[in-house]
Order: sequence, then structure tokens, then C-alpha cells
Amino acid sequence: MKKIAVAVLFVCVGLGFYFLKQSFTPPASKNTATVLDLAWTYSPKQITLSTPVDFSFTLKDSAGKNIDAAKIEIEATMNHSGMVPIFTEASFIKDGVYSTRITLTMLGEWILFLTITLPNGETIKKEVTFTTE
Amino acid sequence: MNLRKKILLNSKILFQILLLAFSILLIAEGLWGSQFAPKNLTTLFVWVHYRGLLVFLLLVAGNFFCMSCPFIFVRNALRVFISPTKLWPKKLQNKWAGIALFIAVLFAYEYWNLWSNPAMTAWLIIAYFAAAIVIDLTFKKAAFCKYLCPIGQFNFLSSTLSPKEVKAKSLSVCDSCTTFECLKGVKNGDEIIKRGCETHLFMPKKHGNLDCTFCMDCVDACPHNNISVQSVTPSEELWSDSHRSGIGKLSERFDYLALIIVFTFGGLLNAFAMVGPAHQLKAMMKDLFSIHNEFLLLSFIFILFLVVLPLLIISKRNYRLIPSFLPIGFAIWLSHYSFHLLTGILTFIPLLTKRPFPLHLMGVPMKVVLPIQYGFLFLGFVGSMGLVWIMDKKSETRLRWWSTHTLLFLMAIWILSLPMEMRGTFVGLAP
Repeated sequence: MKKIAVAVLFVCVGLGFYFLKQSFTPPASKNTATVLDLAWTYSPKQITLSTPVDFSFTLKDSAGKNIDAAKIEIEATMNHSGMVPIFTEASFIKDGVYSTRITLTMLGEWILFLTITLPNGETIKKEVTFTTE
Repeated sequence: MNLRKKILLNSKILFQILLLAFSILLIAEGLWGSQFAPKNLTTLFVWVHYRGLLVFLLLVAGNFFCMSCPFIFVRNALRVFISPTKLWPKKLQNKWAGIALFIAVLFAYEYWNLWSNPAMTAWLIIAYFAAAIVIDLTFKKAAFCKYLCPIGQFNFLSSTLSPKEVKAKSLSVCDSCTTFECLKGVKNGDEIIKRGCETHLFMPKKHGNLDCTFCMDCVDACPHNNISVQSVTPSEELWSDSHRSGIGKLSERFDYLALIIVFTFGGLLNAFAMVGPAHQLKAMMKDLFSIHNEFLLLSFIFILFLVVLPLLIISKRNYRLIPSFLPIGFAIWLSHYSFHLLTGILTFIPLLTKRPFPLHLMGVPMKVVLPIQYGFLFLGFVGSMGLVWIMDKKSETRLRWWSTHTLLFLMAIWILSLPMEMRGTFVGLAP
């Protein structure tokens, strides 16, 4: 009886893994029809925890023309479990340039996930990384 | 069987099944979920919640995580089919292999940045299951728990500071016992009906929580209902260097003393590796010796913390006071893990619900967490200083050890006051 119960348990574990694997869908492809040229910079380069950092993003289309009426939503985070991300949005300045100010909560390697909504409504995801000096 | 005992034994099985189910989910999420650590529940639950809850439970109750161990649940289930016949080799009946594995896990954590690596974290869980199963299906009793399991060694030492202990209710009942089921178990021929203590702790001579997995096998086996979970004064078992069943005198067990040192200084190292000076030290090593191999750089830091530093600050003449490291050592782990747990306690909610969640509710603010961390450290420091006072009457010895603990306390304060820095974690991943 015990042996049957244990065998059933292990079959259940095996089935559990099988169905769990099916439930994980691969992430959606990031390729979009629109080619977007993203340039970015930040200052100051010497960052401490109390230093607000200004990030600047420049958007151009494939023809090199500035994109002015886009929306850039930002999730700033680190590759560390339990990390509380920083959410913000970059404001349009001029000539395809957008800017935002973030006070970092930790030093080290940061990733900014950008969700860019173009004037035609299309959404493009980009990520940029930087390391505090 | 009285109701209390019944609830205790059934809750053990229930917790083991729950943790087994949870382990399966964590393995699946780690292997097939997002490989970006902050968006993966495996890295989050293992490195933030599990570790944090483990130390809090050890502090306020006892070694109940060992009691709920899913590895042992699977092992016990498989022992229905395969009965081990061999005894764990006599030469390995000590903590040296456990110490090596404890260091190996600490090293792997830093080398592979496990906190930011969901797949590796899942493989670590699988490796634990595999090791426990292979060892305990080959060797009798609980060889894996007692001699090898790194989490077990951590829990054994930490639980010396716990307020709960599995103890005999009345030693006079034990004195009249002639069958010793608590140690031998109950057998019918070769068939084990009830297990006795698999870590070789004989209840009347058992002193404290060291090497006790809280498995409750002795509670189940005792025909006199004379064993229960009872309240004790934390650290009381360290006040005297008395003989312990299955261990002997702590001061005569160099393997246990070495484990205490690795536990204490490993805690300091684990916290140090997360702050800026660790990266600066590595950079300095690179410049000075032109070493660019991460394995060698990390080995250097490990030797520095686990060998050089202890040799520098521990009095060799009074080494029998090494157990007085336990309160401050545990406090360092507690302080470090409570930081991660409290600052990211609800970060799992948006991952589970896939909905936005107010950022200010995801964790406890730093201005609240820092005093808690320092409070734990101070408590551990006072505990270690008090232990020195109790364990030795000579002023010179006391002064020597008080200086050692003060130095360790100051180093821990310095490390925990520094901001965390995450480096070496970029792997080109997106959520």
C-alpha cells in the first residue's frame, strides 16, 4: 500500500513538472516593423546615492528624422531578487530629445527598460544598461 | 497518542508536502520562467523570503525549517523501495565535509551570482534533492542531514539561540526506560515501524539543539509520551561545556569549532561581498597581481575572511570560547537577511498578480530597516559578550574575547552601514 502511494506521488510530481513546463510561454519577440534609433546619455557620471541623475534620450526614425510626440515610460531596476524598481516617464524637451531625473537607490549595474509609444500608437521596447562609477 | 503530539506529527508531514510542492514550483519557475532575477519568483522566494523567514523562525521559535524539509520527505518516501544498508564511513563522521559544502555553497553564491540567476538557483534546489536522495538511499540514518547538508549545519548552529528545544519532559521517566526507542526506533524484524533519532542524539543525554533536525521521530517513537518541544533560554546550551549525546564536549570537537568560525566569518563575508569595498578589493588585487580570473579573486577574499581574519583575531590559547561567536555570528546573518526580507517583502505580489502594485508598499522603508538591523547586531554582540562572561572566569581571557567580539561587531556595523552595490550581474537579459 505504501509503495503504491509513493509511486502515485512520484507520478503526480512528474505530471506536475510536465504541465508546469507547458504553462510557461516563451517571451514575445521584441522585433517590430519600425526601426528606431535611440541614443541616450546621463549625467553626472560620478554617481552617489544622493545624486539625482539626469537621463536624456534622443529618438530618431530610420530616415534620421526626430520623433517628437512619443511617450517614454521607464522602469529602472537592477538584476537582483527583491529589487524594488523605480518607475518614471521621460518628458519631451525638443528635437526628439526626452529627459527624466532619477535618484538611484543603489550603486552598481542598472538596467532601464524603456517602453516607447510612437506617435502612430506603436509600442517599442528597448533596454539600456549602465554602471555607476 | 495525545492531541498535541498528533498535531505536531501531522503538521510536520503537512509542512513537508507544502514545501515539496513549493520546491517543484520554484524549480519550474527557475528553469522556464523569466531569467531576469527581479521578475522571477524563484530567485525572489529563495534568496529573499526563504532565507529571511528561516532566520526569523530560528530566532523566535526553533529549527522548524529542518522539520519541514522536503528533501527528507522525498528520501523517506523512496526508502519504501530502497533500504540503505551501509553505515556512513567512520572517518567522515564529523563536520569537515559539511564545512566544505557550506563554504562551497557560499562560494557558488558569489561566483555564479546566484541571487541574480534563476536557472542556477533552480539547479541548486535540484542538486540538494539529488544529494539528499543519493546519500540517504546509500547510507543508513540521516547521514546527509548530520554530516553534509549546508542548510542543516547553518540551522544547527543558529538553533542554539532558539527559544524552543526537543527535550525529555522528565528525566526520571528516561531513567526507568530500558528500551530506548528515542534512539533505536521501533522495529519489526528488519522493518522500521518508527524511526529513532537519525542524528544519534540520545534524549536523556541530549543537551541543546545542536544536530537536532526537529524531525520529531523521537517524539513519535517514545512509548512514554515523554518527549516534547519545550521552551528554553536561548543560548543556554552554550553556557557550560558539558558532554552532549552524539557530539561529546564542544571544546574537544575541532570540526564543530571550525564550523562555528566558518558560520560566523562566512556571515561577515556574505554581507561584505555585496558592498563597494569588496569590488574595490578585487580591483586592487587585479592591479597589484594582474589576476583577472574571478575564481582566483574570489578565492583570495574567501581565504582572507575564513582563514586569515579568524587566525588574526581569535585567541588560540582560549579556543574553547569559540562557541561564544554564535550570538554575534547569527546576528550578522539575521541582520543581513532581514535587510533583504524587509526591503523586498511584498515584491512578489506584482509578479504573482501581473498587476501594478504601489511601490511604497513593496518593502519596509530603509529608515525603519536600518535600526532593526543594528538592533539585531547589538543583541548578538551583547549575547556574545555575556557568553564570554559566563564561560570563563579569568579576567585576561574575558578581556581578550571581549576585544575579539567588539572588533567583529564594529566590522559588521561598518559593512551593514555601507550601501549595497550590485556588480557582475549583467547577462544581457530582459524580462
